[in-house]
Amino acid sequence: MSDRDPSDATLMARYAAGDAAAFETLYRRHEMRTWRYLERNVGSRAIAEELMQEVWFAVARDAARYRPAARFTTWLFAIARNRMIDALRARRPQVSLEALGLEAAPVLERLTAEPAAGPLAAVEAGERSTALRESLAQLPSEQRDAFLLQLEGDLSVEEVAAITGTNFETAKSRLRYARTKLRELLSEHA
Amino acid sequence: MSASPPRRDPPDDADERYRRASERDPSRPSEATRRAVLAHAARLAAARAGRAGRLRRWLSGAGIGPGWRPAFLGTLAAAALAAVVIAPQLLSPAPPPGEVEAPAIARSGTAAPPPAAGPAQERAPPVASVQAPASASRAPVTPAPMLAARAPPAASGAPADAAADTEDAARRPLPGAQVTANASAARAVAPVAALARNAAAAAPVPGDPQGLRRAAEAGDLAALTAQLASGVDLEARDDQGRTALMLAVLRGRADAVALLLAHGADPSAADGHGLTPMQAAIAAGDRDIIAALRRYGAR
Repeated sequence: MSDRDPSDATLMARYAAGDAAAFETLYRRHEMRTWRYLERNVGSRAIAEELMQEVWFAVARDAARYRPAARFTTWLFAIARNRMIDALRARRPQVSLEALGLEAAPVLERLTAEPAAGPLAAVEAGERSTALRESLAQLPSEQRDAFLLQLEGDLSVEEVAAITGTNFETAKSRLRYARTKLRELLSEHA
Repeated sequence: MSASPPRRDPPDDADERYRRASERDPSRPSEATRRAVLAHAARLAAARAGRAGRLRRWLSGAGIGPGWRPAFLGTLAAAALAAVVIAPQLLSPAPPPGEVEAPAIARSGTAAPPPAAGPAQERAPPVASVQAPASASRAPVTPAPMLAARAPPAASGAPADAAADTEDAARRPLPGAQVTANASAARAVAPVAALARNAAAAAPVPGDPQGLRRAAEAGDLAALTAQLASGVDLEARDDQGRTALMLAVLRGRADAVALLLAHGADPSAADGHGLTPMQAAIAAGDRDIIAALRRYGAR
């Protein structure tokens, strides 16, 4: 986002006044971050797709309630996290955050990734992303959640603590453990 | 949570590794998800823009320009002032027959010598606008001190000298001063009454909440679409506190439920007994409606 681009708060205000194009700009700006947060936490593409809709539907519906006193990303990721927890609770008999394993990305998706680099590069890219998912999946859910909130939401420790309902020290501790473990796991796959 | 930039720790090697791996991850949401989100957002935006446009048109039709908020507040203040002035007079005993010329003086806005009673009565305007003068004529005990204390000239529309006259009247309760004070009240009330008449005549019905509920309950999508296009209040309730959405849920009208949700109906609006649409849908075992409500964040 360049300095000339409208801020998230401006886009939200425009959308609340009826400007649909502002919402599209906002969505495209944050689409991948929201997606990665949801998909890497729940480990299921199908659930993540459903959650993506729920989260952004909620953003659209509650646009008039958004107040720029809170950063948009803080608000967005708080919504995303709440929806994710609700969805996982609703599915508890079948699946839980801890029990959720990796759902391999569809083979077609892997083979069509980076088409210009050729099929072999696409397969390698798929393997690297699988390594990332495997590494994330080995983290305890609280640590993974905190880490993804901070990295994808670009949130401070304070904001992570506020969204996850913990205190600063707990959030910081989770982030530290997550990083230590990830460094180790990603080194193994390097 | 504040809007200030977050305080971040120094870059970490694990973060860098994560970001590099993320860049190579081909996973992304499907095009269908993107289309669904953007279409939903566009529908809500259109509904919002439509409501705002209708409000502007209605205000324009009622003769209320872009500065309608101050004008509206001023009107309210004037109406309140008029009520304060008139109410005690209405409650006071009928005036002696000799004081009927007061309305004519009030309309003239000057403390002229008392004219004859006949012409004053001939010029009497219609009922809505004569209340103040008529009551002024019936007011042997004038509320001039009250007027001076509560009504700044700007709010009532009365000129400054009229207010000064009113203060004089408070100190020296002379007949002429009483008439001047009541003239201020008359000038304050006349525009209010005229505006109220205009608004009542020009105000369109912005939608029919009962019609909306009927259409939702019957699953009549054509009627429902027409009501939604009219900008009707989606959250209007019947005598049991049920919204149109709740009625559609109770009747199992999945299409109507989807349409109402897409137009921004509150998915969690409980009825007068505290029953939410989701609870009603679960009780009915209607999976399509449950799924639709969940998608819109129903609790």
